[in-house]
Amino acid sequence: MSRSEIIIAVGNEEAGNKIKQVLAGSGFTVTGICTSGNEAIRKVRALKPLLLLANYELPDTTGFEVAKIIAGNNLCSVVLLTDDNQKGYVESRTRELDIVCLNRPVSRALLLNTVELLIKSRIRIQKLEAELHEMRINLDTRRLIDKAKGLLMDKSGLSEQEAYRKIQKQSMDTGVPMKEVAKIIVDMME
Amino acid sequence: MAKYTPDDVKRMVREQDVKFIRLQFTDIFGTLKNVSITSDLLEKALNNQCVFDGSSIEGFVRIEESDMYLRPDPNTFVVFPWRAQSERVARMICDIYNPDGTPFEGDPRYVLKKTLKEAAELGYTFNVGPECEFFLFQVDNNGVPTTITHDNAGYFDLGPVDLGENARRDMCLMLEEMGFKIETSHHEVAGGQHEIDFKYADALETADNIMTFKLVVKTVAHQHGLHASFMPKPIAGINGSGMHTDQSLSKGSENAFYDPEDKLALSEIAYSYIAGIMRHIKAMTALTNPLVNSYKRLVPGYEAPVYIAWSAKNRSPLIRIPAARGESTRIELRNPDPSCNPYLALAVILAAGLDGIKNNLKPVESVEGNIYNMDNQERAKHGIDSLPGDLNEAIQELRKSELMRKVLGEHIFDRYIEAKLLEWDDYRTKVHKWEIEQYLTKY
Repeated sequence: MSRSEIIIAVGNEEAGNKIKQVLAGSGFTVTGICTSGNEAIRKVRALKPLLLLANYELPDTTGFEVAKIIAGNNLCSVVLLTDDNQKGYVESRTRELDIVCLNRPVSRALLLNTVELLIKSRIRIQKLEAELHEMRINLDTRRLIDKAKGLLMDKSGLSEQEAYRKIQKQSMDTGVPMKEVAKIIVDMME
Repeated sequence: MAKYTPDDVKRMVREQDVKFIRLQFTDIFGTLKNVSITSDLLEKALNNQCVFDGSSIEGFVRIEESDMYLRPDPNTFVVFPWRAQSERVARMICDIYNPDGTPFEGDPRYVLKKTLKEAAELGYTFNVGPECEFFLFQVDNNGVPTTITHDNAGYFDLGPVDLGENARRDMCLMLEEMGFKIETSHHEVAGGQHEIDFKYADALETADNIMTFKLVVKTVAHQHGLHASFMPKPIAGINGSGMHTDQSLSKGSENAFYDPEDKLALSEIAYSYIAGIMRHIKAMTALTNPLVNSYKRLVPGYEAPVYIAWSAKNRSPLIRIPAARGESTRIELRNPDPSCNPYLALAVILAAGLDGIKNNLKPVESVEGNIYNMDNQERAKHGIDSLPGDLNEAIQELRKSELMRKVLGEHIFDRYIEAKLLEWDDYRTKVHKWEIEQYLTKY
C-alpha cells in the first residue's frame, strides 16, 4: 500500500521503537515515531496516515488533546494508551469521535487486533466518503442540467427530450462537459 | 454584523445545544479576556447581571471598585466552529459597566464607541479594513513555541507539503464559518509569514473582528501543532508583521474621501484627514505600535514605514493611497502592527483624522521619490519627520498630546503610560543577548 498506515506518539523513542517492532512484525507500516503531541499533529497532517497510536501522557500536551484534534478533524483513527481513569474520562467526553482507548499494559494480541480493525474500518470509511463526494457532485450536475432543461423548455418552447438533446449535443460539439454547458445556459437565461 | 435580539440568542443556544458561553472583553493592552458561563446562566448574562472582579484584570481598577458588570452585545453572538471539542461553545463580546450603570471608562470598546459617536455627530461612518500578518512557528517537544518557521524546518523530504499553507486554508474556512468575508490570503515575504485580509466593515465591527481573528488563527495553528504569533518583529533580518489599516469615511451612502474633480480624485475631507493623522501620528504610535519590539519592525529595509509622509504612488511611506477610486477610495495607514489593541488604535486614528477635518488642515506635499534614498538634509527640505524610534520616545510623545488624553480618557491615558513606562524600564535595565555577544569577550 502506497499510503502510510501508522504514526506512533509516545514520550520516548525507545518505547516507540518497541511498539513499532510489534506492529511491523505483523505487517503494518509505521511511518513515524513522534516524541511530542505537537510533532504528532504536524506529522499526521503531513503524512495522512490511517491511524495514530498515542500515549495519554506526552511531554508537551496530553494524548487526549491530540486525539481530539486528530479525530475531531477526521484526519485518521486514534488509539490512546490510557489507565483506567483516563479511559473513563476520555470515553465519557468523546462518544462521537473515532478514538479507542486501550488500558496499559496492552497485550500484543489486543493491540494488533484493535489496530487491524480500526485500519480496516478507516479504509472502508474513506471509500464511503469518496463515494459520497462523487454522488454529491453527480447530484449537483443533475440539478444543474434539470434547471437548464427547464429554462430551455420555458423560454424556447422545446420538449423535455429536445432540451436535453440540445444540451448534450452542445456538449459533444464543443467538448465542454454537460455540467459546464448547463451552467452557461443557466447563467445566460436566468 | 448580524442583528440579533436577546431572544434570538436564547433560541440559537437552545437549538444548537450550546453548553458554554464565553463573555469576552479586551483589556487595555489588547489581550482578550473571557468569563465562561454555562448556558443555564445565559438569561442572567443577557440581563446584564454578570459580574466579574475588575481588580484582577491588568490595567482595570483599584481593589475598592472592583465589581464590574458585563453587558453582552447580542450581535456578536457566534458559535465556535472548532471541531476538536466535546461540547459546543459560543461567545458574545461585552461592554463593561460600573455598578451604577454607567459605562466603565477603562473599557477600550467604550473608547472606540465614544469616538465613533463623535464622528457620527459630524455625519461620518468610519470604515476600516485591516491586513493582518503573522508568523507560524514550530512548537518544540516540550510544547514551547520556537522561532523556527515551518517552511524551512518541515518535511520537505516528503514532497511539496507546506503545513503552513494547510493551516492557513483551515483558518480561512473557520473564519468564513464564523461569518468573515475573506478577501485574500497569501504567503508573505518572509519565510513562515502569512497574511489574511478580511472585508472592511464599520470600525467597531472591525475591531471585534480583529480580536476574533487572532483567536481563530491561534486556535487553528494549535490544531496544526504550530504556534501563531502576532509579535511585530520575531526574527531580526527579515520582514516583521504589520497590520496595514485601510480606512475611509462615508457620509450617508457616499464615500467622503472621493472627489472626481481633484487631480488625485481625493476630496478636501480626505486631505484634511491625512493631515490630521500626520499631525498626531507621533503621539498615537504608542497605541498603534505598543511594544518594545514594535520599533524593531519600524526600521528601513523591510517594507515598514519609518518616515512621516504620504504618497499616491509609492508603497513605502506611512500613508499610501491605493489606486481604487469611487466607492473604494481609501487611505492605507502602514505603521500599525497586530500587537495593538484594535479598539484603542482605531479610536486614536479616527480622532486624529477628525481633528484634521475640524481644523481644516492641509497636508504637506506628497512624496513620490524613495525617502530611504534621501539624506537628512533632503528629508528636512521636504519637511519629512520620522516616527518615534523606540517605545520610550513614543510614550513621551503620547504624554504631550492633549488630543490623546481626551480620546482615551484620563483613566486609560494614565494607566497606559504608567504600564508602558514600566515595560520600557524593564527592557532598559535587562542585559540582552546582543550585549553579551558584543562585549563579554571584548572588554
